[in-house]
Amino acid sequence: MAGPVLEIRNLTKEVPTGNQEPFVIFKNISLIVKEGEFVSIVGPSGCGKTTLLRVINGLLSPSSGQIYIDGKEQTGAGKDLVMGFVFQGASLLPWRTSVKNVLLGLEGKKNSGEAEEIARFYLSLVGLSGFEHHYPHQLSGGMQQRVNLARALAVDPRILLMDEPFAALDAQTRTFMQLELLRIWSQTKKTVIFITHMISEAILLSDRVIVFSHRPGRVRSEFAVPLARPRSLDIKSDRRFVELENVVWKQIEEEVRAAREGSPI
Amino acid sequence: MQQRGLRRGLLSILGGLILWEVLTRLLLEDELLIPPPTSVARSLWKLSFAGELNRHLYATLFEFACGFSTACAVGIFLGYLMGRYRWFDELMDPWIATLYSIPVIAFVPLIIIWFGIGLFSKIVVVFKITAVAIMLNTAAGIKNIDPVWLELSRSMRLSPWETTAKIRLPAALPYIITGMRLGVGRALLGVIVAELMAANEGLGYLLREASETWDSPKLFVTVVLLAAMGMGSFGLIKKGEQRLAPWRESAEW
Ligand SMILES: Nc1ncnc2c1ncn2[C@@H]1O[C@H](COP(=O)(O)OP(=O)(O)OP(=O)(O)O)[C@@H](O)[C@H]1O
Ligand SMILES: [Mg+2]
Repeated sequence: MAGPVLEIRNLTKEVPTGNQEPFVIFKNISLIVKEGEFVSIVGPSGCGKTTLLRVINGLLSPSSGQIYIDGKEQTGAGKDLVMGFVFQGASLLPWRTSVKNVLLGLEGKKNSGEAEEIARFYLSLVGLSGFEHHYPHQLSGGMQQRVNLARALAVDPRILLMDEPFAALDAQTRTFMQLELLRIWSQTKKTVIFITHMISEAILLSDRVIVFSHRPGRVRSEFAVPLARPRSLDIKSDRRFVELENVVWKQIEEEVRAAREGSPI
Repeated sequence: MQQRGLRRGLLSILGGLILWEVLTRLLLEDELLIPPPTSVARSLWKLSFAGELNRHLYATLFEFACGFSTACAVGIFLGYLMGRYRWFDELMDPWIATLYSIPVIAFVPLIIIWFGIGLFSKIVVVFKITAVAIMLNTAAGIKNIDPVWLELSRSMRLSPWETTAKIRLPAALPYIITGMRLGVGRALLGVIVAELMAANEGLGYLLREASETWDSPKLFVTVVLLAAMGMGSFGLIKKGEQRLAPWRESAEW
């Protein structure tokens, strides 16, 4: 059995503030993610979730600690594209059509015919066949996030990093996209780290849910989700689902309360 | 919808022309002051038949095109560097301010002394008028790029060169086009002023000649042509914008 896809050891990120004390965003985070695992991170706003993903992706360097991908230590943004990133906000390039947006990470790495074929395949995987030549402004919010997902998947990453990908969607679209993600994940078997504020979303999608403390972010607790796959919306009424949701919610509530006492949010 | 708008516009112009014709024929004895449209048309016909018009029109267009494309190339290049590097921006700033503050009217005689009355001096004049707007707008576009796109670029491991070509320049394109649009009308004016002052061909030259010989139909022909050129170049940029930046639904004018 091969080692874990991702291993994080004692990762800390601080930023200098000008005065003595640096601003600690997260502290001593250790995490192991296995091949094909779907891990969610939930935690109060501002606890450093986005920053953690950026550090994992090599967009920021950690203040201390190590990141290993397939056992290889990562130092800065390497040349190889081993991670796909779905950003928190809209990040499609408005001057590129869907297929061109998906092609962004493939251009120059594959010959153009092959790349185009891959891009079209992933667009169809996310359910956007027929929308290849639409510009982002011609797509709904849900469709735009599908393109984002296709773009991240198209580079065939070892790890898919998703930062609140559905936060901007309305409740109906969001639920639908969660089911779509379940389907796509079962078809691609990717290793996913998924950040969300919505506890039910985390439980529905994940094998494991990790709860972060308030800033400086630390791993407060983690829960294996005891629900069999394939999953449907029905599991939301499963007793274990509801119990887990309550437990996680209580912890986050405590963290938010603690954060308020420490400093204003 | 658009068709009907166009038809009404044409109708309105036609009505104006008829009114003009009737009024000048009824009220004015002398065609010298304001020639009726038919005289202008006759003059246009005569001029183009003699091949004279073509030559002047072509000269002006050529000067304009050379100057404008030089201004675009240099303006985008320098504007990009200004947008990327603060020190370069600060280096350029006083020069741009100087260049911008010199009035064209004062600039032209100097340019004619330095570069003569030929093509090159006209290119310099057009460049002076347009380059600054293109430069400043390009720089603004490069500076105002959404940081998410740069993050995307790094996350996709694009090279610096790819980031420029695929992210920064397309992101700045609407700004660049705005700069071009701002410059185009004034550039045309610049060419004409330069030709008025010193030239041996071009519409500005024709304008001067017509005015010196009191040939008002000819004068009117030139003015109409200039208006057409202005409208044409405006339309061309609009077309170019639709082609280059189709994601921008409609350009507000
Ligand atoms: N470069 C930086 N310099 C200073 N502070 C920063 C920097 N980057 C992030 N922060 C701060 O670190 C904290 C965590 O930010 P981050 O965006 O990672 O939070 P988050 O958990 O993703 O929040 P949300 O759930 O609202 O998206 C915030 O207080 C933010 O202001
Ligand atoms: Mg965040």
